[in-house]
Amino acid sequence: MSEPGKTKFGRCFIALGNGLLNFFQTVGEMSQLLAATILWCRAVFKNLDKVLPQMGKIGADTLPIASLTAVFVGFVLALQTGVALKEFGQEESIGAVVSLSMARELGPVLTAILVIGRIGAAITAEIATMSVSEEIDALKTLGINPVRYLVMPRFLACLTMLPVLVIYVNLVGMIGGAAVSKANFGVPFMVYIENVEEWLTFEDIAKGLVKAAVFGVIISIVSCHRGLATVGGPGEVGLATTNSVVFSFVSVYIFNYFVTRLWLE
Amino acid sequence: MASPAQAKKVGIFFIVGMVILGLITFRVEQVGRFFKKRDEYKAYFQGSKGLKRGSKVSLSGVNVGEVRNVSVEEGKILVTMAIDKGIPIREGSFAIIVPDFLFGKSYVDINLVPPDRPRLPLGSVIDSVDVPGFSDMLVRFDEAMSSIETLTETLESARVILARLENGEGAMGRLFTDEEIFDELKEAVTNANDIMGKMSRGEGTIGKLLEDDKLFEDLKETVSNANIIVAKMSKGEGTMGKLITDETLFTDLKGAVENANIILGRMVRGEGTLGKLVRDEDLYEDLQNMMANLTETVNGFRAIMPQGAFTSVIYSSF
Amino acid sequence: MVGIGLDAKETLNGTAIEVRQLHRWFRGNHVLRGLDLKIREGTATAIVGSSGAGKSVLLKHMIGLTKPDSGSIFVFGEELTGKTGMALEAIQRRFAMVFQGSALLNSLTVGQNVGLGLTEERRLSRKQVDDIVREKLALVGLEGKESQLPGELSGGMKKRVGIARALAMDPDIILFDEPTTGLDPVMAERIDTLMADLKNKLRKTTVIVTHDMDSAFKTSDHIAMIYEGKIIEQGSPEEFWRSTNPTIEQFISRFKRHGTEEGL
Repeated sequence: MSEPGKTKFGRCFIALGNGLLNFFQTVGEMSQLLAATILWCRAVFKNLDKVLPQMGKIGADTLPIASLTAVFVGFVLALQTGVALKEFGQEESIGAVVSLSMARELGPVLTAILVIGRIGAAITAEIATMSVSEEIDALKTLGINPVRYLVMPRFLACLTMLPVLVIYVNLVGMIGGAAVSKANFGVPFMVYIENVEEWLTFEDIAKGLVKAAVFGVIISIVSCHRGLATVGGPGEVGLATTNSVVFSFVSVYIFNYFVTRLWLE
Repeated sequence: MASPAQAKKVGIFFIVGMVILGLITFRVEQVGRFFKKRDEYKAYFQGSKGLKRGSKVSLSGVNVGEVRNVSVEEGKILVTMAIDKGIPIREGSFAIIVPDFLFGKSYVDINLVPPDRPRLPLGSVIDSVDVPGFSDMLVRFDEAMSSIETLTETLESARVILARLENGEGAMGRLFTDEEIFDELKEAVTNANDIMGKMSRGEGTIGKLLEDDKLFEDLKETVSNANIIVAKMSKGEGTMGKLITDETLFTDLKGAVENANIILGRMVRGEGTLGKLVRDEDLYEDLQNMMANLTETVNGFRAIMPQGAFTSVIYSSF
Repeated sequence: MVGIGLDAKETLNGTAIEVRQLHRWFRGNHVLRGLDLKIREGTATAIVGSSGAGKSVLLKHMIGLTKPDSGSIFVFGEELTGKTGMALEAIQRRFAMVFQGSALLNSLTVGQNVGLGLTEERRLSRKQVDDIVREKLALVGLEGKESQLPGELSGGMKKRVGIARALAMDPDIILFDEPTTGLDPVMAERIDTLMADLKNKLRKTTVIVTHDMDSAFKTSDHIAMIYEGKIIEQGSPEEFWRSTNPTIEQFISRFKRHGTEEGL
């Protein structure tokens, strides 16, 4: 170890190798955590007291901010596409563009980003604090499995509530689009709605919801893992949180591509 | 430890979410149609153009059903459609696939025919027309463009040749101006005519032709006359000679005359004389301008094409 | 001096925890280097040593929170090392641990913290749990604090809640990690008394990790010293006091001077 470590190249190589090994280890641990979490889901009905508050946090409590985001995204979508479509005299197609964009892509992805920032970061910070203050160890000594007590409720809450949140986001986004269509391009609501009905299918919505569920799994597992893996002092909590948010973002983007790709087959 | 209030909050959130999902689904899928009775019709197409199960079927733009199945059958695409009961599909209606390259949501449209036509029986095949898609249209337009370009070239050479013709230049020109050659040619033709005349009068069969000296003499004379012409020609002395030796000129001439005949004929009938076409530079320039405009338009379409594709990629990714 | 022989007879006879040849590395540091230790049932053992000597690490190995690189640990004759899942939890159920920072769950009230293990076990009714919580809180002198949040308590009170939480599970062995560190002398005194009571009145086996020699002498009947990853000396407090081992002499010299002054 000391010999190659002396040259610049050697040090680079070692650093790169270690980084790669760490990454593999992290991914491996996350997969293990996911498997353990899924196994613990059998105990969901005994643990509703922990699952329900998490569901509340991720679902109902996130709804106002999610709606605010969604309505503005709807505005912008309608505005951007409206200007382009107006050139072809196709303003009534704004409904199709907004609804399809929201249902297929923007709804799930934007909600995921919001939940990462609001919930994922909080999960990591909370669990990381528990890790460094030995609360996780305390749970274990009390015969409480941290995966059951902490991870499973968050996992289930993300998995089930993210898609529900996306339904609201889709609706609010479409309403936002309708408002801009009417105000800026003079498209009557009924025309907008008819256009949405003509183009949007259940398949589009369902695919978006499946995406959201996948994102929910990613966010919960990444956030919990980064929290549980934290060792050291309170300074590590902030680091772990940043790490978790970045990791979640990148994972969501990557999985978004692959899930979308899957459906194009 | 979960308080009832929390459970209630989650419950309300979840149920309202599901209701919204249900309502949206009901609206966009017209779930009510599941309970409606539907009739099945078929249509054959050359290509599916992105049509798939669940694609909409409209009757002159009004939504009346959906595509049940798209399958391949004996080199054609069989599209099975479910159309709301009570919607009359009559003889003489034909189905077209309206392709949608922006969202990938093509649909079938059936045109309306007067209500006095008899109704098609259930399950029967509706006539279909394969409407070219946008890309097909571009390809055809391209073909049309290149043939127009060829035509312009031909027209151009025709103009040059006609100009030379009038000035008495070149082989054909001289043919028109050189009286001597014309006379010889005329004589040969007259002699030939004599022979033909005798023959038609029944004054000899092929055998008679061989026995009858006088006839032979006449024929000989004709041949010798012809020989003189041929000799002159083979010497390549302007006129017909050149016409024979110079192959390119001949081909040009042939093409030019063919094309010119059609176009010029119309023009002569329309506006005036051959000379006018030849001398009238304005007309030619107009034609040139029109060509330039057309090329520009086509190039414009080509430039738009990738944009269209790009836009459709963006939208479909959303 | 108690020998550290490894007779099988002795292992089963009154030995609560036995550590054999425990090795542990932490980021290239060889923290525990073949440590042997035996803790007898019903005794209070103090493990002393300077900071970073590996005392807390040893404690976490005993309860199965971390796994050794080599060596083995027996709890009531049953091997702990290598066990996972339910088997590990079954052994862990015989333990309770009082953490240095008390490790109370900040989102739960004092009462919920104390009753956490029982509530999650789901063997007892809500009322039974509440009764136990009240009883244990009374034992540590915190009656009526059930509905307060840990954030509202002082360090000493939190530590006592931690002890109540450990007692609520009715364990055979209680591990204390630095119970008096960071407390004022009065509060430290109270904790010491509490720990002594646990041993004398409740007959629990206790293991106390500390560098507070005062606390070690007062609460334990057996002291073991970790130095360079091994137990270098162990015995009763009197034996420890009289030890001629220079490392121990150095370690307790400050306390001895202190004690002499007090004596004067």
